[in-house]
Amino acid sequence: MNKDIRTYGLLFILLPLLQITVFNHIHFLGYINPYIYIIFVFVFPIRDNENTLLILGFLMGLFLDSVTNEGGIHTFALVFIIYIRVGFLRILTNKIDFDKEIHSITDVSTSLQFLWVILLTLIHHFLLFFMEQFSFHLFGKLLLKTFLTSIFTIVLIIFGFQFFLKGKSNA
Amino acid sequence: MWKIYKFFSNNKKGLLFILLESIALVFIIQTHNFHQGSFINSANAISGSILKKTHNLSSYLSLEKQNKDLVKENESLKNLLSAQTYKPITASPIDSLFKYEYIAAQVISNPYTGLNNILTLDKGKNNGIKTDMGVVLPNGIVGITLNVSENFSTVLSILNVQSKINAKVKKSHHYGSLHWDGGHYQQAVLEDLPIQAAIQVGDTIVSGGKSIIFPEGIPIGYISDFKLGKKSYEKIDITFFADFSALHHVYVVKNYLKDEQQSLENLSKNE
Repeated sequence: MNKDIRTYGLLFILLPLLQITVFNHIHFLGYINPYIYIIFVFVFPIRDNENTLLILGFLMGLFLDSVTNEGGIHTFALVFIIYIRVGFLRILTNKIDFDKEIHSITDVSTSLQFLWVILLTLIHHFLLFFMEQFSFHLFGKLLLKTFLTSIFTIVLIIFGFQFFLKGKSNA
Repeated sequence: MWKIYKFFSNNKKGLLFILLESIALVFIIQTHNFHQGSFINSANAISGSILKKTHNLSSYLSLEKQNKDLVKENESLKNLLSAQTYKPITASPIDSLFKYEYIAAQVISNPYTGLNNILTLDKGKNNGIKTDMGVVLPNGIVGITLNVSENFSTVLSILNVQSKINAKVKKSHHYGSLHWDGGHYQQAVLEDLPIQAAIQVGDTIVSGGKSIIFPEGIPIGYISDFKLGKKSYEKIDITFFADFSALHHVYVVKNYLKDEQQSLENLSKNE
């Protein structure tokens, strides 16, 4: 447990810093930056601690929003996917005793892991860009930006999974 | 605080979710409100110093280009000065000489991929910066200061869909308003230009004298394309002179006569 606190505490500090110092300056195709900090939501253990994660996500979002001057868009999108993440996984895995069997994303098959990450990333990015624009004007552009940025983020997160979750599998 | 946390962590997840999302929503709505800076902004000590450290590291990579730009600007200023010496002073020089003061600052955060871009400068109250001051380049307008702390300030970028800046066609002195539509960072749109203004592709657009924030005549960009409607111009595309993806040294404009002009204008409005 102590080891967990140390690992996720470190991630909680490092991920936003990495985001603002490196990944906010990618400007792929002129306007695409991946949002890798959401990997925190995916690797965080799935136990009876969703409220802690909500608070942590809220603080992380506020920090990112204050540095980038984007109001509350990161906070809003991040808290939203944290709220729905367990329910989503429950639906995807379709397990009856979900609470007993699943404690981490590594307890789920790889294809379901990817599906979960892809769906949550798409929702996060859509909310992020929608809140930034705050209107339905230019909706096509919004969807395109969501789609392109999501691809970039998902690829990086899947790479990140190899790194974070190595040796943590339930084998 | 711990008790509040305990209360929520023992109670429903939904309640906490709704609370946090409403706080975030309040901040979002606040940023979409033009004349008000956001409560959470990068002009605080923590964000400011992180941004400054990152900027210090990355700006080494472009030092050569920055130097070239500064030398170029120096050259044009020196040429202007030598031309001035041999000119007899005609009109009262005082208003043009002492109306504006320029404060040099560095851009430590320069987002340009979003729709509501807000820059951060490494100067603040301690250097004489206040809210609603213009921020300019030798070849462009950068934005207007928003939140100011002791050592940092944020700037509502011209690349923000909420920005609107008074501009005019240099040769014909017809006024319009410049507006960024969220597209490419080199492109903007000129609106409300009267049909009487005969324009051509390539015409220079400069800042208009109607604003009390920006000095008149700062070059902004040129007309890259336009469509003529029946009674007015349908769309006028502007390409900026300045490269907003690589901003380093900028100048904050302090207008000494701003208060006087503003109070006079208010007085006339009330009458």
